[in-house]
Amino acid sequence: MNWYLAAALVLQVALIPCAWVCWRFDPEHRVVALGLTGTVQALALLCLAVGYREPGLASMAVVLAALSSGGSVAFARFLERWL
Amino acid sequence: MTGVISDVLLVAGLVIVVCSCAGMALFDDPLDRLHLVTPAAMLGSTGISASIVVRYGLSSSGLAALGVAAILIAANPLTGHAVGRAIAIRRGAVWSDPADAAAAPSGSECAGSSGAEQ
Repeated sequence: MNWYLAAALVLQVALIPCAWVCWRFDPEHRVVALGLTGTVQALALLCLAVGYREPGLASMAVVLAALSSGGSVAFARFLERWL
Repeated sequence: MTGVISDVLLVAGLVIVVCSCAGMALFDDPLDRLHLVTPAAMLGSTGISASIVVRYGLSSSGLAALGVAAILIAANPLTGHAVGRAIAIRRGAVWSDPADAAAAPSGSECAGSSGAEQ
């Protein structure tokens, strides 16, 4: 296990508070935790790509970063209009 | 030397992201929690991506790391604004677009764009 795989493991453990917030709180809290989760997951995927030396996986991290940001905005608009 | 700098940047980025995630469990208000997303997206992604670029240079992984950091840094203010606006509207704030207020007929002035009314 190199440093980047260890970093990916640490980032996955760091998602536990976000999961707890998504599980226990109101939708306002959940959408905030979802935004942080997307950021952390993109960084974890990037660390996994570097750790396993798979550049294609790093491209997926780029896509995940873009889509998670757009998804957070979409959820926020949905929250303010219909929920 | 390059490896040491890369490790220091990686650990610094990880500490910032882990502290932001831990703060999610500590704060009670969603707007307080919203403030925690920015350090992770700005400083955490910068540290981790800089670590990869320092270690591997501008290879495919390094370019992907730069792309992830650029996207997160560029999109985080937009995401934060959209989420904060949604929370404010759900709390009853009147939020109007200045362009809509300018186009509206006189006498039907809406509240300001700050949306801070509770």
